[in-house]
Amino acid sequence: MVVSVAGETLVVPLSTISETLSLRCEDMRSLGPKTQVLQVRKTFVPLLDLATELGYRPPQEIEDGAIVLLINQEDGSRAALVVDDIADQRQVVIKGLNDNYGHVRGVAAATILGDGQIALILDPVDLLENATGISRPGAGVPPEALAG
Amino acid sequence: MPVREIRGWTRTTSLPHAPDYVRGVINLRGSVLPVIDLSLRLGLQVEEPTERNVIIVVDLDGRTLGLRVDAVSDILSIPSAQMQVPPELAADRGATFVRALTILDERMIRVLDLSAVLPESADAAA
Repeated sequence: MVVSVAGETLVVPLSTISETLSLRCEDMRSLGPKTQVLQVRKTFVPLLDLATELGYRPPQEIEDGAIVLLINQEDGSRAALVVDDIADQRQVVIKGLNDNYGHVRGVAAATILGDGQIALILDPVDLLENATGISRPGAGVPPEALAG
Repeated sequence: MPVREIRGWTRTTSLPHAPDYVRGVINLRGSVLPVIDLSLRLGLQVEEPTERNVIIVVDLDGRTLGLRVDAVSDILSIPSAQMQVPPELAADRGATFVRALTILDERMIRVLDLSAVLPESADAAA
């Protein structure tokens, strides 16, 4: 699935997405000073702003109606990722990043879109393992979370 | 000769968690090319990339990288006898990237040590 986040285009493997939903503020709960969870039916899943997790922008308030991808991990645990927009659903050709650059945390590979631009393919499992959980402004961001 | 080609500037796709001098990746005829901002890497004054900037594509140790520069002004052949070892001054951080010095038309030309320019994350992965 092709999504846009902070002006960048990203691809999220469809196999990891169990559903997409529109965020309702009343379903958002604070777990700690830095982390939030989202109530999905009778369960709670950690809520993460994808742009913040990737260091594309500082933490900001998540608005009502934001688009949320519900990610299913292999071990059965789940997480909710906030994205700016869902652009498309398509099959892509995978291009490796490791040969010329090296491993990037949270990124599995890259692909080339129809307009010639490169889009990164997300590795949700890797991303969630290293997730900072910071999705609220003023929550204190480690410097590396904002680099790049 | 590590330089493979020279091409115009195109918009990069930023990489998360990358050092600031890694501008991102671009599409080079179907392969993914990381682009390093040479002026940021060398600790020089930096302006936002413009259409007039140039990406130098280099092959280093089997890896292909792009280097963003302001402009390419000339191509020189310099005999190794005219290359001088740069004096060691620890104070200048950029000096660690200089492999040799030479003089051309009364001007000092610095010869870049390309392997030192590589991003550290790529070094770790190699």
